[in-house]
Amino acid sequence: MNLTNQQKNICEHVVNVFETGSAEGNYGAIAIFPDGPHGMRQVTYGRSQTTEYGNLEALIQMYVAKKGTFSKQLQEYLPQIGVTPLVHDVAFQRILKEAGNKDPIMRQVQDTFFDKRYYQPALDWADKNGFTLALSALVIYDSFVHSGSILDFLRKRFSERTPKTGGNEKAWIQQYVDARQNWLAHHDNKTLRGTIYRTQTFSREIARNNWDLALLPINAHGVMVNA
Amino acid sequence: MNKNRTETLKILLRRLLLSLLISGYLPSPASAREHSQSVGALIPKHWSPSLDQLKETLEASSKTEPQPPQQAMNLTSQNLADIRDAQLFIVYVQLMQKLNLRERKKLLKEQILWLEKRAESASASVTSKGGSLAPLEHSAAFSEITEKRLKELLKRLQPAQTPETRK
Repeated sequence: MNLTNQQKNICEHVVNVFETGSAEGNYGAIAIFPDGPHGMRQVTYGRSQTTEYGNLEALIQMYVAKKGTFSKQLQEYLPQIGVTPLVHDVAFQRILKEAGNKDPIMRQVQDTFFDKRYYQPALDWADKNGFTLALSALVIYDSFVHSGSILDFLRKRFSERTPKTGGNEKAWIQQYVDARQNWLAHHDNKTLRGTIYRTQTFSREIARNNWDLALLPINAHGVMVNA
Repeated sequence: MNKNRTETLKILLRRLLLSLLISGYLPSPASAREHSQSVGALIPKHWSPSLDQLKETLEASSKTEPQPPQQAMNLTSQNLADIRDAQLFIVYVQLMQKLNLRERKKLLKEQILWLEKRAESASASVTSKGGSLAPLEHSAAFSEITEKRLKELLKRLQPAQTPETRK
């Protein structure tokens, strides 16, 4: 799948809006959730959120190697990340927040890191299954960021095959968006229903035939994305 | 640093209170009524912290349109889950105070098992593994499970209704 730089930027900015409310994203975002091993609380950090017991160590290692403004301070924490709980370490969290908000090197590192974590796997999946259109890339990338992958149980809810196996690309994307919309809008847990603005955005772009993402701006949950 | 120390003190205090309850140093229900104002009472009379208003405010804010971005939704949902957990903790301590030594041991064992099961069930409810929706799926399930347990313990806390009290 060959996307232009502008198409890639649009994909990233639209998803950034869904995640953080701004097209640029929130690189200093910190949250604590009890979703670590055995229900332990853990620090979640960055533009697309990586976790203390997940890939935070890898992200900080990359940042330290790039010699960012806060590299020395964060280097001291490397042996502890994923070993000693840091949810109560206010100093650690303050440094992470400052690095994300103030240091352009942390922003570059996060862009590279989250590109590898979400964007590249999404595009690999798209390539492997024969997708070529920019709007398809946006829908697939969003599914990787929001749900971690293309959800198998949703694929079983519609009949269209992937382009690789003889299906129609536009029909597949439309049906996947509909299945996801239907799943979220009628979820047993009402809290999840509030996330349908993502699929509503895609349905709007499909309706105006914006398959190459050339019709700008795109209204992403009230924020106008131009590129 | 100070926050760390405060958290450690809170944990120690919580453990001390529970071990006092279990070991019987704190009054059993029978003697609790008699000694509710004595040195051994666990909860001072008229001290009844409430998180209801905070919970209602957060719930109302989570329903405003347009819906906030994912990271904000995740935070609000987790805050609500934490409030429910704190409410459960309060009711659990209140209930412990009403029980005799044998019943306290039984409730502690029951609660430990329930906590393990809650962690398992909340994790099992996550379908978006590795995605930003996962914390929301987790905290929403966590809240729902906790809410059920809260109702269950509240029911046990209320005194058995006699024909007179029913009037």
